[in-house]
Amino acid sequence: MAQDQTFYEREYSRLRIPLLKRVGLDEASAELVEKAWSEGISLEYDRLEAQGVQCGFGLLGLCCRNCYMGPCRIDPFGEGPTRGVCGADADTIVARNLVREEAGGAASHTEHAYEVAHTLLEVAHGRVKAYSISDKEKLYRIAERLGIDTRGKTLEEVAALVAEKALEDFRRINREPMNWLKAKTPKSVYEVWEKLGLLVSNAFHEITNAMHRTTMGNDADPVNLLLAALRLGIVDGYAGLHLATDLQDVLFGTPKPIKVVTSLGVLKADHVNIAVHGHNPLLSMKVVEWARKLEGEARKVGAAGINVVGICCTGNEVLMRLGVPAAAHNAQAELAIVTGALDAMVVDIQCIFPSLAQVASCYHTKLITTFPYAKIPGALHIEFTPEKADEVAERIVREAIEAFKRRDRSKIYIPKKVEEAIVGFSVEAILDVLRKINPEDPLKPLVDVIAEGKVKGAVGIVGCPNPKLRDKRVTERLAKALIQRDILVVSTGCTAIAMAQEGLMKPEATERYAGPGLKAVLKTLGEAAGLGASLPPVWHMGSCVDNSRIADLISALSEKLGVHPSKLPVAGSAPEFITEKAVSIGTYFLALGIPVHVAPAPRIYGSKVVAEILTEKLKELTGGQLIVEYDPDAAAEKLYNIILEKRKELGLPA
Amino acid sequence: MKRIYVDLARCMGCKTCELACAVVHSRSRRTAAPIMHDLYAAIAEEPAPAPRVRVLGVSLEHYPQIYMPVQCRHCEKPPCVAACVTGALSRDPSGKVELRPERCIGCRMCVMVCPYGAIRVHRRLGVAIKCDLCPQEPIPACVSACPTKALIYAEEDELLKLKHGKVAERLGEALTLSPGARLVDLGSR
Repeated sequence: MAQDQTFYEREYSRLRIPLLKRVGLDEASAELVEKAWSEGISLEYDRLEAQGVQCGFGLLGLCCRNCYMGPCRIDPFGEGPTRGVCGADADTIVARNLVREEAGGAASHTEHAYEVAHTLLEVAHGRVKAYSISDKEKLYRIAERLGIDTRGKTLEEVAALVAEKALEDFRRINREPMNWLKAKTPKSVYEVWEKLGLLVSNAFHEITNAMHRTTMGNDADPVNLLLAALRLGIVDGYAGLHLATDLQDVLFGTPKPIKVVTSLGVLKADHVNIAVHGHNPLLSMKVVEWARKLEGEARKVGAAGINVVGICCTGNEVLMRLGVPAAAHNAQAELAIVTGALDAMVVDIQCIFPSLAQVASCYHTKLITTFPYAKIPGALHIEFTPEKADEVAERIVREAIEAFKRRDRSKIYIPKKVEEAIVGFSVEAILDVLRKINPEDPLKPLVDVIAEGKVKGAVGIVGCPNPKLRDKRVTERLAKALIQRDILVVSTGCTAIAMAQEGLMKPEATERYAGPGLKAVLKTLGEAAGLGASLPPVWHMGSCVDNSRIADLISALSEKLGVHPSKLPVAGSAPEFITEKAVSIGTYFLALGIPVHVAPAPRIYGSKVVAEILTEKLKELTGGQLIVEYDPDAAAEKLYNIILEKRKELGLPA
Repeated sequence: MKRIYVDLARCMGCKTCELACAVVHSRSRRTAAPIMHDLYAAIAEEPAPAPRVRVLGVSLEHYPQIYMPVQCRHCEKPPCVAACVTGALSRDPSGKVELRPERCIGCRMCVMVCPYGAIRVHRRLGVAIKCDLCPQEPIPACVSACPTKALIYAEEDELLKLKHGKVAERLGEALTLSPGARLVDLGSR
């Protein structure tokens, strides 16, 4: 393996996973972990420890299980096999495995978006009555971008046309680019993608093709496979993220800044507590609605009311739109049950650990699964369909009220600490604030403060708190290190919940952590917004599909300034990522031309070719660049330097 | 002296021990770090670090195969020590077979006489390499890395105690299942 000393020296020798200082879990988590252990319950941290040394071939992406001549492994030290039985070498195997990861990620987001689009169509045709169109303005804005002639058409007709355009992106048979891609990609990016042959046409076909091309005896060219990986990133971006966010905003409203509370302490001992966990707001929005309707029923069984709390991204959806308290991120979901105060946890899709059933079995908590393709042994399954949304949500809330009666009060412990946060920074909401400073050209004030150097740039910190890095608090430390350097942080997903719990989304955090330039700007913006205080230094932009909002903001800035996004002083980071979805989201941003920092190391280092393309050569193709760094301080320094470099290229002061 | 023993029923042939061995014998190795933390740097080293343990497929007749990680057995009467003309190989008072690479001339006599193929000459360094029981690590890396705990690092007595415990358990079960078995009284002789 060891041939090109220079790339190895630059990238591999550096990548000795640092022995990061353990900061320990956040206070509420630590208390509940202790409680779980004293009750003999094992958690993700125990299971991680039990895994022991994780497989080195797996870490490097060097294991191929794609056919039955194998499984094959390549010896990374070069003495053993250098090729699999079919002859695939390390580069082919690593690239194929990466494509399959991306297919998993893109499949998750596109199916989520597909279900929302389908529901919008059914709502428009009046076949689904549980939902209605909440944000008409956004619907018309989308229709306009898609080139739909809305004159003389009813709201429902426009909604149906928009939904049809969305669904077209899943079943197009000509080779035309996807509608959403055409409508939302900045021109400079579109041209780059056209040249590279990345204008994807049909989301489901791309995912099928990814699985096909990576089967035994197909694509063996690592470069061609990496182009496929980029295509999947773009599929995830437009047929997943953008589509889901846009249509969810149409159905449920576009988030506006709202004051909320977060942390495991938001559970209430005297209330029926229901947690919504997963990703799809079609279910969680209805659960919140029915919880409010059935308050009286809860009082009849001796509860003070019903308290719905959010976990993971469906939690973010109802947090941003309805102010439902965010109890937990994915890595705390088990702990929400350990409080002993959770009566029901209703889950939909993605990031739902099967372990929840085991933990729930130690308490009175009802774990309720709802999607036909996401069942868990030990859970109660109440199947959700948009047509039956009300009926299902009502049943779920009643199950929770029933469970409340079976509570073991001796087992209840709810952490005291609760953090406040201001969330709901959709692009529309950000523009509304900026419009108060410059009504004609709202982006100008933002551009100005960046140009002056008061704000050096922005970094989107996204993804999932990973048990591997949780006790080191990589996410929170990275955010603080960036804010201190006058870099604005925007966030989505479970990392956003972790940062809210850390107190990084309240005005006081600006005073405490922000550098002088950023502090002054956030103060001005906060006053313009009528907040009477600074805006927080970390802006919560939504769930993980709402990474589209970050892309929208980047696209808007790129189009306003007439420069390719890779020129902008912005970057992305998934500092503790877990999922295949994070891999495909990250790839979307790489395709857009954004530097993307990640930890843990993606499974690419078994191939020098793949690692070198993603971390170095990609810069010349899309402008994107992968940065792998475990240490939050070193990562902040790298992102800061990249931002300074981009500022220099734009002729801006450092 | 503690030795590495293999529980043959448990080895799945995953070769994690091989990777772990190469990593801890790399220049990148930091002793306090979890083994795979240094994997990325280790695979980039020139010359590449080499594992001292090899997983052998013991029987091709059976499927799934029986696997066995093989490393230096630290023999009581080591043929390699006897065959080493330069004194690079020796047996220390505890019984460990030690290798001093600075004395090795790469003659491969040890390779010829080792009954297990557990010693070989490094392709690039030209000197013999073999299991040194990881003196820098708390326990040998292959043992700590094994995901199925197929490798055991123990004194022979400890291993026997473990085995006898299992044998007793099995005998106990057999005798309980067939009560007649223990009723044969051979009488006084």
